[in-house]
Amino acid sequence: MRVRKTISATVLIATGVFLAFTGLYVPKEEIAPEDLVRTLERNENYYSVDKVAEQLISKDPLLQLVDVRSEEEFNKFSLSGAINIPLEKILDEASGDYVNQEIYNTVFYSNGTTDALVALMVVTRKGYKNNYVMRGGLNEWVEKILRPKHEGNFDVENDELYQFRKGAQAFFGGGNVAPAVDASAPKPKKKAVKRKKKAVSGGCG
Amino acid sequence: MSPLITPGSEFDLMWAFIIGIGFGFLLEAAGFSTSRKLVGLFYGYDFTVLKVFFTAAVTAATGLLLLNHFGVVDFGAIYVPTTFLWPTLVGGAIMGLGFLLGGFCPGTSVCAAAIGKLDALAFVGGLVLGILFYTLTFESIWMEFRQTSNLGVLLMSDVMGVSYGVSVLIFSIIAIATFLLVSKIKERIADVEY
Repeated sequence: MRVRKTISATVLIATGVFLAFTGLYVPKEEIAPEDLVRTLERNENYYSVDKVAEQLISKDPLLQLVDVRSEEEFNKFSLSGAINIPLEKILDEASGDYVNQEIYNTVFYSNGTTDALVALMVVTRKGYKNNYVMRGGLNEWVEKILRPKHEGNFDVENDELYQFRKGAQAFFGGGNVAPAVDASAPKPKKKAVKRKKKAVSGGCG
Repeated sequence: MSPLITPGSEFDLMWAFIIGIGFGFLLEAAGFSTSRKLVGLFYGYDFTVLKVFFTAAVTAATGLLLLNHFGVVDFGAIYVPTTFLWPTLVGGAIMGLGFLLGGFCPGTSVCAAAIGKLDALAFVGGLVLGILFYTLTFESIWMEFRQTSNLGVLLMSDVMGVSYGVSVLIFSIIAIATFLLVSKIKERIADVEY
């Protein structure tokens, strides 16, 4: 018994000494292309315009809208509470507080889906989490929230959706432009968590 | 090569179930379904908990670094939760008090309840009430507090200013020294029947 314990302790210390003098292995590739495609295809990476509308109405504290269009387009029309980070600035250090944090759900939107999806692809490749895309972008927002029409059969589900959209239309001013947030205005006081290094972790059940 | 299991798929719960069964089986095999054994560490008559969890931590830390060294595990793919100092201390104190009063921690209580221990069943009932209380008071009491004193992603190696390897070596030495110490203590105290 004593011999076994001594051998175990010796092996453990020897392994520890070996590890203490060796460096970390860091793979060159950030995220495999097929993993990236799989991530982007997942439904949970998308917010529908209805979900965004619902969270805006309920003033969900975790929702952070990011408009990835140009500053000019943003100033003409934007969703309330959104901040403007043009696509080309998405990886700037100043954008890190919004796209590289662990607390808020950052939802990218553009006119359609493409630019927001590019933004999601870039930040996902960097390994950032908690970022989403508003499917259909502002085009779908205008079509479904600001100018809602009854879609599909007249059943309870479609009826409820239509009623919700009518309510949302009234809330958001029915096609009027929401006041844009000045891009140069100070950032919201939300404290973002920057992800630093990731390493070994564990816990008790 | 890693991860072997890609999170976010529809099989997540199935993997969680299989891993959970394995974890529960090993907890039971280590004798962790006995509350007296668990609180024995606090009263100083049984050090199994300390030995098992220290061994688990040293094995995991050493194993992960070795797997990383041979290119099997990418540290960038491992999620490390953020450290919120005061919420962690308060949460730890509440859990510690519950552990001491009830004789179980959440995992071991479910494990013991599964083999029909009545005290564990009562503990699980209390656990559910605690979850309910937390949920109902989340916005009024906890929501702001849980985001305070954010230290970011913090590791022992960062605090000590050494590499991962050196911190694992130091941790291994501490573990061996602790095992020797508790073995000496155990020799001096009488065995407790339970």
